[in-house]
Amino acid sequence: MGKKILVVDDSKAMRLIVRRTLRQAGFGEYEVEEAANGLEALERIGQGAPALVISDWNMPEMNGIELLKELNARKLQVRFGFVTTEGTPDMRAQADEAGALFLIAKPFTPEQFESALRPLLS
Amino acid sequence: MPFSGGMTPVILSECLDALSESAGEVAATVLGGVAFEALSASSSYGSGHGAYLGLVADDEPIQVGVLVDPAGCQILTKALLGMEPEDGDLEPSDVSDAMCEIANIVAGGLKRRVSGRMRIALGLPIFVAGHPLPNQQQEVSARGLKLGAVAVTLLVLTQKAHSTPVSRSGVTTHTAGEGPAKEKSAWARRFS
Repeated sequence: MGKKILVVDDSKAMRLIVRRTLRQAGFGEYEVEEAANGLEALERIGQGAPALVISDWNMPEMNGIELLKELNARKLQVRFGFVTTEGTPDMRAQADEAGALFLIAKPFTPEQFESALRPLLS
Repeated sequence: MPFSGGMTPVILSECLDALSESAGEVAATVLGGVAFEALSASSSYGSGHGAYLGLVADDEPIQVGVLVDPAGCQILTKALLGMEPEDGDLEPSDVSDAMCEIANIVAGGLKRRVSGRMRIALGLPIFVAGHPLPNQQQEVSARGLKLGAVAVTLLVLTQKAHSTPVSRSGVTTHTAGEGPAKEKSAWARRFS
């Protein structure tokens, strides 16, 4: 796995905010790639697995949980976590069950990124 | 405060409190720590310019809005994107995207805050650069706040208490054995 982080979100503004937060959280050495939905993300991951996928939940075409399940079905091993508006207990349970490593609820801080991502990327 | 939808004034007030708290979180985090000031309840929502998001709370459809004038939308978008206020104005599509994201996060904060009591499904946000008019069966409640120097109105749009529910197709709907008026909605039952 390369030093690449894939940010998946249908909002251009949010992709930019996640990029900025990654820098502020001390992950500036990672190359950040973007995808606007799960299908685009699958294509990117197929071209080379990133060190981490940070995905929104609600997206058109293929949403975040469908993306994670598809990665599992294809046996593509990639570290995966959610950054989403809706961090309800039910969604956290679904994310856990599908193998997500973290779920960060929006709005978030660089400190939350640091504490969720550092153990995975160090 | 007007009686709105099936929601009692207490429930409405709780929702507006949750939305306001959520906007405060947005100010402290993704808007880079701009000052947040909650203002009093308001019956006015200005021009209606801003981002809206539909929710379904149990079986009750409502809309929330984050209303900001065009200059304020530019300022909030720049703050969200880490730009300076004096930077050049952004394209309408960037402003729309950013304001929808703010509405999405604020509505998500409402969902988190009431998730122990009801199931809320978030719809898609939309930016309105104009003057939306609620129809005669809808009631608007509003709360003012300031994000930095930007005046923001948080809005909750509900169905009036004794109005006839209208389906998404615009056809009036009745359940067998029920009259058209909703005496007590799911929201009201949950909170009462």
